[in-house]
Amino acid sequence: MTVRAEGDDALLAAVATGDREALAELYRRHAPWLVLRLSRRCSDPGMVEEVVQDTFVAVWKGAARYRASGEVPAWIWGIGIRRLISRLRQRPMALAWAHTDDTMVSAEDEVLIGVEHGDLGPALSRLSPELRAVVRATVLDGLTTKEAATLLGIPQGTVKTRAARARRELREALA
Amino acid sequence: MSVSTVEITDVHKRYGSTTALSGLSFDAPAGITGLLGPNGAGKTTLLRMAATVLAPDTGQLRLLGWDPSVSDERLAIRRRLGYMPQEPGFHRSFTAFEFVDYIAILKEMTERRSRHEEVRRVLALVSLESVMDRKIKTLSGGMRRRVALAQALLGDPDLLVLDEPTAGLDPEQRLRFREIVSERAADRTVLLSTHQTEDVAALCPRVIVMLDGAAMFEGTPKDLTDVATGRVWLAAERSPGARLSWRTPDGAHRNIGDAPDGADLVAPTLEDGYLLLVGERAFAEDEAA
Amino acid sequence: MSTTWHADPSVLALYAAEDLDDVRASSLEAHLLACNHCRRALAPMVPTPRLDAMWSEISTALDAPHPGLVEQVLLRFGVREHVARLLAATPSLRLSWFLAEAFALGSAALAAHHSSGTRAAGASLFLFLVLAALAPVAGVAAAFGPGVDPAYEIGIASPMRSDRLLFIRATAVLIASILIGGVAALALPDLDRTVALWLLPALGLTLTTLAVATWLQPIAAACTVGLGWLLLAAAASVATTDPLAAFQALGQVLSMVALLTSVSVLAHRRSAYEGRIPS
Repeated sequence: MTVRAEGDDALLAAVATGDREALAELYRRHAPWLVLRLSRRCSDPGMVEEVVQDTFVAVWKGAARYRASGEVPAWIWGIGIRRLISRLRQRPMALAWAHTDDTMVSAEDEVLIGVEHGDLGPALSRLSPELRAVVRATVLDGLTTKEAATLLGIPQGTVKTRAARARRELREALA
Repeated sequence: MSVSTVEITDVHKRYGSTTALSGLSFDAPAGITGLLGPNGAGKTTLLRMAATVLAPDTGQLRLLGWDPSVSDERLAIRRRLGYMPQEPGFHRSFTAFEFVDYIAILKEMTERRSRHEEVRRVLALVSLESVMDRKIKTLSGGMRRRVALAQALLGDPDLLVLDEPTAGLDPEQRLRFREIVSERAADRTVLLSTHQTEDVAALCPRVIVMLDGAAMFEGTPKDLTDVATGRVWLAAERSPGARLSWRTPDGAHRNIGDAPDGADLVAPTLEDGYLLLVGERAFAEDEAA
Repeated sequence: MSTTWHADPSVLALYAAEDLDDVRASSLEAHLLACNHCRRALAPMVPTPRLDAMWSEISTALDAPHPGLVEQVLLRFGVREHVARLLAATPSLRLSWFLAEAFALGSAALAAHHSSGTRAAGASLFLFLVLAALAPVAGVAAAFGPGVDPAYEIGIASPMRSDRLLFIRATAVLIASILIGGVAALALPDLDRTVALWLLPALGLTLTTLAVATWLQPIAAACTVGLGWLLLAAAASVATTDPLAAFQALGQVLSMVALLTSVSVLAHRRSAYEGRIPS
């Protein structure tokens, strides 16, 4: 097993030619974060595993169609989240929300949050978990209302209402 | 645990008016045995017999302790056999994986999951994992040979029959091939034929030299080298008494044959021993090859 | 987005343990999409057995054969997967072969149709019947043997019995040819019993070819049987001035006889298929 040093773009191009080892390297690099990120949206580890598997098989088949550059992880995530949603459509289930959010936001955390979300971070943390989930699905994961609804297991109308409320509260917090 | 030997006894084979094998006899114990010989010596014919693909006209074979002329025993041999023919052919549009998979089915591996694992295992052995999903027609000659070697390794056979496996490979590939084969050989029997004395010197604890359908020599590479002891000398030109003579890169002539008194004797190589045995015929063939 | 900022390992560990609070986790996720360094730092925190198990499934899925059209049809008919692979490796079971056969037979049937009622009617009908009867013979010739099977030698050296392989393929070829012939026959002018006159000869010829193939190589056997029969059929047409002489009652009976004889020959000489390569 040789370790490959190319960037993700080059690896994906190799995958498009049928290079199984290149896919193995992409897997080594991206499967770990994908598993964790999907696990935060789906509490069934078996389903998460199936989605990860489906995702990389889809990467294998669709490598030739990848046109953007430098955004391989985002592309992989897009495949993964949509696979998860289509599975959930077939087997609707409650999302796990095991994390209660009563931790204090420390100064270091503020940096972490602030770096990625600017001023949004602290404001976000003051939203309720339900509103945050909607913001994450629609804004951070880039899903449509319909997809977000399937993912969160709530009706589309609720997605819209919560998104609107979140926007209102954030605007107030930032004002 | 069956006996890992090949026993050939007085085998004859004719094709029309051509005699391919005339009274060939030798034994190959466990480990690697190399068959050296010029074109037409009968190596391919013999290997086909060892692979149960061809039957002799007269004579006896025992492969892994079984008799290939008996139908049930032939089947038992084939279950423990891996064969790489001299000119392997491939289905044009198959990928390397699909081809080896097809052969695996012929080898009675009907369960898909374990079969696919085995296919991947042998392709990894020959370092072809990265191209296994490419069509064979897009692979280079050296890679195709490795595909042919991979299918021979399916099922971890007790008897490996390889016909000119290193033909057309560059030195680096030949080295890699030698590594693969010597790893396999531990307690199995490998029978391979080659033109290259370096392959034999590096790989085979046992050598058979074939000429005109019979075995001229059977022994270790050192024994073969020793055949030429005292019979190789350097001179400014071709000497009288030399059966073969050729110019070396540094200008002198290397002579093998019956050395005259006072000749400048040099230590023999395996090739010298081989050439001495098979004579001018081999030399001419090698030049033409 | 920052490129020099990296997540603290303790934060990554919390995230990997799914113990990180929601806001920081979302933030980290966005960062991970853009940062190779943090992805690499995170990777060892995911249990290897889990990753390996998933990769094994992925490999299996990738290895899953991509059956061609013919294979898919076979699988749909309940043919077992490894048998379908063997059949798919047969040249005369490729789509291109079927199309060629369909074209030839279809053209012959249409020609018979157009020439019905004319003097050429008999001849063109004869042509169709002959083609339909010989199609499976050609298919068998192209199904097995050193001329058409690139991996023939390796195949002989394998445990699978050659006769089994040949019979599996011959059966498939026969069924396919009969289906194509049957469909093409629908284009014939009179949909009476002439439509099926080629059926028994086709079976008889195919089995005779297989029987002769226990002595000769498949291609040679097919040529011998096919040409031999063609000459006989032509001679019969000329002698009796009935173009379809070879397909009338006597012809059908002879086909049946050939069929039964061949079956018994095959039963006895099956093992002759093994270990024969041309010198």
